[in-house]
Amino acid sequence: MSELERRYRRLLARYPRDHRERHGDEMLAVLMSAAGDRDRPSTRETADLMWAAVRLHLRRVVVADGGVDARDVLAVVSLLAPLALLAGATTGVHEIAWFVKAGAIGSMPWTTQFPDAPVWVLWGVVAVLVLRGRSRAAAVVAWPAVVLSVLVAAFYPHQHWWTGMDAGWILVGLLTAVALTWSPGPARGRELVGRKAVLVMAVTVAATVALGVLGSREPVVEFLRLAAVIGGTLVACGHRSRVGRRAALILLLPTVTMVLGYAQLLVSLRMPTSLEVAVFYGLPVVALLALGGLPRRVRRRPDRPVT
Amino acid sequence: MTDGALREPTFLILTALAARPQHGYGILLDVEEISEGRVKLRAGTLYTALDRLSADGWVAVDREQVVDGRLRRYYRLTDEGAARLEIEVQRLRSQTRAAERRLRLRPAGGTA
Repeated sequence: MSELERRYRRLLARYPRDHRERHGDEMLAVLMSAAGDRDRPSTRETADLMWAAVRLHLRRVVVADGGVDARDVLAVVSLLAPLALLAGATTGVHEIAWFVKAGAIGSMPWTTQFPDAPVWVLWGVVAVLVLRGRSRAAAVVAWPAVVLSVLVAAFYPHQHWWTGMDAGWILVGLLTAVALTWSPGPARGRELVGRKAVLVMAVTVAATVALGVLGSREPVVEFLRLAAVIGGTLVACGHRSRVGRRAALILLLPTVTMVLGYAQLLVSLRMPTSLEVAVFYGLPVVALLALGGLPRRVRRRPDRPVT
Repeated sequence: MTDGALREPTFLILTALAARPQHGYGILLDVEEISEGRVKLRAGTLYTALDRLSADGWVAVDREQVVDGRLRRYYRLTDEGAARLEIEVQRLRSQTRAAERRLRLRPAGGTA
């Protein structure tokens, strides 16, 4: 191998792996053909290759990830999110369990202990409708559920310890309503992830709710709960596919905000409510965009520069 | 599909592929020839563009060959790409005609 080829290979190593695998040898051949009698890449050529590598990396991170169709991602979300959302009722179910155990369920103050119960009832209805193949009806019910969850968060801001507890669920709820309304729907989602995915997600939700109710505030149980949610969601969505990983990113938003909340508690950081809302609602959205959780199909407008 | 203007490198790459499939190095040489030496694309720029044009469905891989132990991949213009190029040609033609008409209306010797 000549010194020139070795230098070109070193530059091409900066390219995204999938691009390198697809075009690496071909680009090397073009570079060698165009090199003439040079023994090292020119400064312009080096700059061009480096700039192209940066653009391709950026394109994969913030714009698209070669072949991921956002509609497919949302189709998987429309199938699995209505089930995944039910894990959000854990706190309320825990309260019910406590009052049942105390033999005082009849005197439980629902408006303070479980003010968002109607939200979870609506999401339960959405989940049943999706499982019965009635996605249009599910979309119709999903929007009031989103509105109601926002209202509860606004008027009962202290039902949870921190804003993050609500933010993740509200964001996933919103994306679920969007997915049910505008994506190809749960039927397409089932084609992509298979029927087993629904079962895996249902088991995951049941396990996390049970762990949350039975072992609330026990560090080991909380860790297990986190692991169950992440593991179950990745398995259900299909961690080996790009579409599946992006759908999982969306479904795991409540986990992201929960981790943010734990971090906030750990450092005892007090923030004004407006900043807290910006952090807990804004950061997950930024993370979704940065990690490609909300990919846009590469559909370049012809008036946008290609190079 | 919108009718906004294509950037010059895109136009030239699509034009290079209009008549026949070409490999990467062939496209570089052809772009230089079409632009009469004014535009010299480099490999990094070319393959960034091909990445996008492939994703848009305007170009596709036609065939592969191994020449002197090196991979040569030929690209072709798809029907969608040809339609987009045709729209661009019409747009440029219309603008050129308008420019010619206005130049003819220009008073001899220019304006004060």
